[in-house]
Amino acid sequence: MLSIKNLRVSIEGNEILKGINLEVKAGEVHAIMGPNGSGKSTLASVLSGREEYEVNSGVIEYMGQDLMEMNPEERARAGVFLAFQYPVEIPGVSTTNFLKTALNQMREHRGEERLDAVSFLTLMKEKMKLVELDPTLISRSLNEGFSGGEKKRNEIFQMAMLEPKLAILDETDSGLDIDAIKIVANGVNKLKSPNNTTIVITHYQRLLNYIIPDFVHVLMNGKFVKSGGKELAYKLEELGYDWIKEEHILA
Amino acid sequence: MANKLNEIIASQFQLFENRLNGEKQLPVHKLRKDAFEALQYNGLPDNKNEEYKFTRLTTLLERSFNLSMQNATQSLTKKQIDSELIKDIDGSFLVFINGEYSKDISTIAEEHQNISIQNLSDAIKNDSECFEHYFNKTKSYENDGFLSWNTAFTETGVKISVESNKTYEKPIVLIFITDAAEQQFMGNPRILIQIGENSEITFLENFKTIGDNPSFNNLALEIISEKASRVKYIKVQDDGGNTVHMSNSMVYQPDASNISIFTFTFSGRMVRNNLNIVVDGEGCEANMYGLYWINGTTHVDNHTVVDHRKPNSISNELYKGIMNDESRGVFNGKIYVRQLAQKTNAFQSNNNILLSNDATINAKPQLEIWADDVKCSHGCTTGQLDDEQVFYLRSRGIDKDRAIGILLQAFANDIFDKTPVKELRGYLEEIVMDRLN
Repeated sequence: MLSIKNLRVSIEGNEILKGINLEVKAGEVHAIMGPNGSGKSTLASVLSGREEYEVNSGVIEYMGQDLMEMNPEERARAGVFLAFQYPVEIPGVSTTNFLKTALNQMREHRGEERLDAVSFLTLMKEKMKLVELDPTLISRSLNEGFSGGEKKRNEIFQMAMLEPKLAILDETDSGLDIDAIKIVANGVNKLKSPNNTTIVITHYQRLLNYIIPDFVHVLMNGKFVKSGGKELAYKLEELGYDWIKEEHILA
Repeated sequence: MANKLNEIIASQFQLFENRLNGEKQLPVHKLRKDAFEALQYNGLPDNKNEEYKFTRLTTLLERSFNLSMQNATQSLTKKQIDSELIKDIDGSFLVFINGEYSKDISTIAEEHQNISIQNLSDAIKNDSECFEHYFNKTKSYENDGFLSWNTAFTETGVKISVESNKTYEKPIVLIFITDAAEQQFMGNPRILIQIGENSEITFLENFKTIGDNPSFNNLALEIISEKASRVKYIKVQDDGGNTVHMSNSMVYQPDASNISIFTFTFSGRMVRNNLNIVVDGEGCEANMYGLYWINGTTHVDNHTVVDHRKPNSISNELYKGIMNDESRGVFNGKIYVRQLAQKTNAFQSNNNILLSNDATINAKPQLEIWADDVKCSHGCTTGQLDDEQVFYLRSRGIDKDRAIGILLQAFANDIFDKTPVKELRGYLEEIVMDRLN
């Protein structure tokens, strides 16, 4: 589904990603872990099409297409979804209207009919339950005055509505208490299918207690330095990142 | 140059007086002459005038109009006029052609039958005592040259009187059709509105020019309300690209009166709105809402003054602007709180979005407070659209233009949402959708 080869990315002349390789297949859950400043969020941003990054070399192939040739809305319509680390507040635009526009634009591009008001509402109600989102929030301005937990839940709610093929969760656990993490993780797990893929970007292992990854990759200083199964995450939780650093230096 | 203009206006005034014959004996003519003399003395404001330094209206008039040309008699057909009217509003429609009230084309709603609506020239002749009582009573202490010009040439327009203790649900729509089909047009229309005690009513004003020759409307609007009256007045300015619009709107507020003025500006070559509200009573509320959403080379200048003269009143002002291409916005908002006006609450806010590198805004909030027990605030922001917000919407599959449109509409909705005539919403939305595509 997603194949990243030798990806080098810089921002304002500083190289952040220094040759990333990653293969992700449908139905898999990948976790990308790493200390602060290792380049995790940069990778998420580049995948979702943020424009302020310079891609110096490398290829990102997504479902047979060159992802770098696509603008953010084209990526979204092709099934790429980024759950933002810091969801943006948009005063004056309600979540309902925003999602209706987004969903219908996507449907139009797939050659499907627009959803009528009743079907849309039914769909929203169903998906809201999934992340236990307070129904009063969706008629309010998008993310405006939402708590940290509400914002993150709203991200997963949007994911549920838009049904992406490739979901990238960028530090979705940051700022959440354990109950909120469970709710968010539960939502993500319910959306999991053999046809879609989740990339979970996180600093801590605790989210991975609830979203069980098939693969764990450790990103450090712009490179993947170690990959393994879910047990790698436990080891990181126990020992921190230092042992990998040492191992890496020795190697 | 100003002297030359003065000479032309003087000879026009001579012609105007000759035409008036016996009407020169009416008391209103003394006011005309005073205004004419003030104008001769002060001249029209040039760019050395602080209030007009960003809006060189006088220069534009000198360059683009033949000031000594007389207006042609209007030649529009009913069909042409009909196509310019704002429709789908449940209310009365007063149609003016070149400033002259046209009863034939106008329709008065059942509800408004007891409202006195008079052609201004008739009111001057037939109702001179009443007219004199209300006319030109709100003149701004700033002595605007264009207002003097209008007053000196007062003839066309309308006088509307609303009795006391009446609440009207439906709006009165005033549509001014300007005929610039064959040649340029210059006019000085005047709207005089008198609202009786404890009455409530809504007005909607719209100017439309037919034809591509330059047109200049130098409007003066006076709203004289009595105690506990509640008035809403909406200006929708979406006239053609070769039109110049000057408006002096003057509102006088006695005790417990409530006024809301809405000013929407979308197009025109140059639009200048002076809005002066004198809060001369206690327990009053004055609301001023403005939205200028412009593109091309349109120039829009909103100058507002609220003068709090008595205690315990509220004024609330919110103007928002979106400027694209090479358009230019000017906002100047003054709040005076006089020493007597204790316990005044006065709020002002002006927010602007520039969509292109060549668009400009000059914003100047001014507070002058002489009372010590008041709550006043003002804030002014200018910026571009937030890239992060645009990206967020795009990352959910919404294309870039649509994302920008959603954000601009959200910005403007603060003002749209307050608009009292709900059918107007559709008309405004159409303009906005047009603008966004």
